[in-house]
Amino acid sequence: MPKSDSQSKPHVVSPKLISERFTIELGAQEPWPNDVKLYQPYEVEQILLPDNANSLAVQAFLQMCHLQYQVVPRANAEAMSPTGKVPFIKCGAFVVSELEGIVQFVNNRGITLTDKLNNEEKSDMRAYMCLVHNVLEKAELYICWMDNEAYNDVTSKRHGSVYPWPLNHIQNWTKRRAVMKNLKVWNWYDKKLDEVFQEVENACQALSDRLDDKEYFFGNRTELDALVFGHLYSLCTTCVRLKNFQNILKKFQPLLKYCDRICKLMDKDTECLEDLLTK
Amino acid sequence: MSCEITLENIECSNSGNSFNIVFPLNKAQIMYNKFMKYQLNVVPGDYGLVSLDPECTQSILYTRIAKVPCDIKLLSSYRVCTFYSAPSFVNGKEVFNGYDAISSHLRSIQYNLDFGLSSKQCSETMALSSMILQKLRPLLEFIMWVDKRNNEELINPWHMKVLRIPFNYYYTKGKRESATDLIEAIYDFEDNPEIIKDYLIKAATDCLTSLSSRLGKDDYFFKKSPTSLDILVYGYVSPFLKLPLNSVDITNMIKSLWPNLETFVKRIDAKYLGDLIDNERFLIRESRTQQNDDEVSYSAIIILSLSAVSLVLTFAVNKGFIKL
Repeated sequence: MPKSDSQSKPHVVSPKLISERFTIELGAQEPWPNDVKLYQPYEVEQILLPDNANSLAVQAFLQMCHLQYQVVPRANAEAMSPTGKVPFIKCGAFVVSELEGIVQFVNNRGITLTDKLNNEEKSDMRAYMCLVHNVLEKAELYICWMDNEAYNDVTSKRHGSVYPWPLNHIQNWTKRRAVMKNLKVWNWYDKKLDEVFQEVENACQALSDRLDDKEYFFGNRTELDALVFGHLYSLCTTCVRLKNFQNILKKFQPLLKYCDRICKLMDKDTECLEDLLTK
Repeated sequence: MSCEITLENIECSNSGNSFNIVFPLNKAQIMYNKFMKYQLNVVPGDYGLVSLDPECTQSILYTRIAKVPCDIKLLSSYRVCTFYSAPSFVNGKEVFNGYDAISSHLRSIQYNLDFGLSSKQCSETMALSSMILQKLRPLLEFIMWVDKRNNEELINPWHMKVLRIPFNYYYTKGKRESATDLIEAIYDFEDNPEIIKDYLIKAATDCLTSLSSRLGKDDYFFKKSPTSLDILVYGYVSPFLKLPLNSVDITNMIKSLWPNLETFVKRIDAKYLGDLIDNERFLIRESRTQQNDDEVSYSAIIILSLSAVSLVLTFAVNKGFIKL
């Protein structure tokens, strides 16, 4: 018997394609399967700071929604993703990438973390998510690809580790050019290293002021909490410019305590955070 | 000159991507600044906009709200476009290019619009600014410089007419390339411009909905007076309302779905930019007539020199003085 189209060919749902209501509604009819796979690069040898942060954010979001998933490392995860960005999930016949796309996909199945939020709070949450993407993510990209010390010691080795010589150099060069072009259009290319750390500190200050002394940004856990946790935890455990990031994060104890809370929820190692938390 | 730094006069400022602690200058410095004239170089405006470049619009509005004593020079003259880019702010020998650099310099010389905002409001400013830059800016860049119909029928011919040869070519080429790079960086997996436009409109709709609900019925985002956030919103919303765009119906969308944003733009126009908008076409004409003599002479010199050189060369080749 010939397979139906949806069975033979996975539906690709990127965050940008999410407006295609028909595709989403198709997915909405089915319950959350047990065999959902989250694809990302190899964690120990390959993954870089920004990808690790985004992957952690998606994992935190899925755990906050109590949804089952299995992490599958793939050397070519980036090439497998419909938008060229990791992580992405394969849920039944659907392939969905990036946190925003996955959040929409999950929401359309009737599972949401923001049902108690009013419109103004939802707008506020979206704005803070833009802040994390606009500052923390760009800073991570900058440190990994523009800072020569980090690039030579870590990024080029890790990114090229899955390719044989001379392909590793070609892949590194291609990726670095793409990242530089990206940073140029967002006016980050001409920044100096000090300015980048200052931007990170300003973003942390803004997040800390918004969090205030609350447990989560909007009372209950939302996708913003998942995103902020993903980036802050990655900065605490990164192998590039760790000291600089730790010195910045030390100044924001409420944010570290907040990360520690989500860490425990996710059964993650909290040792790195405990070192930074003042007793 | 030294700064008086006390706990009372440390102020928190925040605009766009930057968030700095600024130490106000002492009285002598303030007096000195009052008498000092600055120069702001911008792309000219039209269609009710003070400038067709959103960063220039923001720079003009900042100087107007903060009452910075500066001369606004238009990029439509050879003298300005030869030496400066737009927007650029000249303070003595220092030149600051781009709105971010201009606003942070103005904050450092006492003109700080975010003074008095609480830390929460500064945090909110930073988040909303990020959202505008990520969701609204790409649509405006796309409509102005990437969308074929708008660019070929409206934006490009306007710039070619208003700016001077050959700077109009450099300027439009640069703007088109940077807009294309921006769209490619966001949607590198998609080639169809119609689909890209749909994604961009959806993102912009989300952003405008958030801004409209945040503004509510207030005059400005932080109620009493305009801050850097109001300037950013005006810079990226007013072009959608005023440019006679061909292929996108976002003007009517804003007017019908978010009328408070239209009122907000009109309020700022009336209060801070009324004279510039009313006299805007006049400004272009005046600035052209002022420099008309110089411009004619520059062009005439170049044409005459080229003609003379080519005549001499033709004569020399014909007479056999130069053998080719």
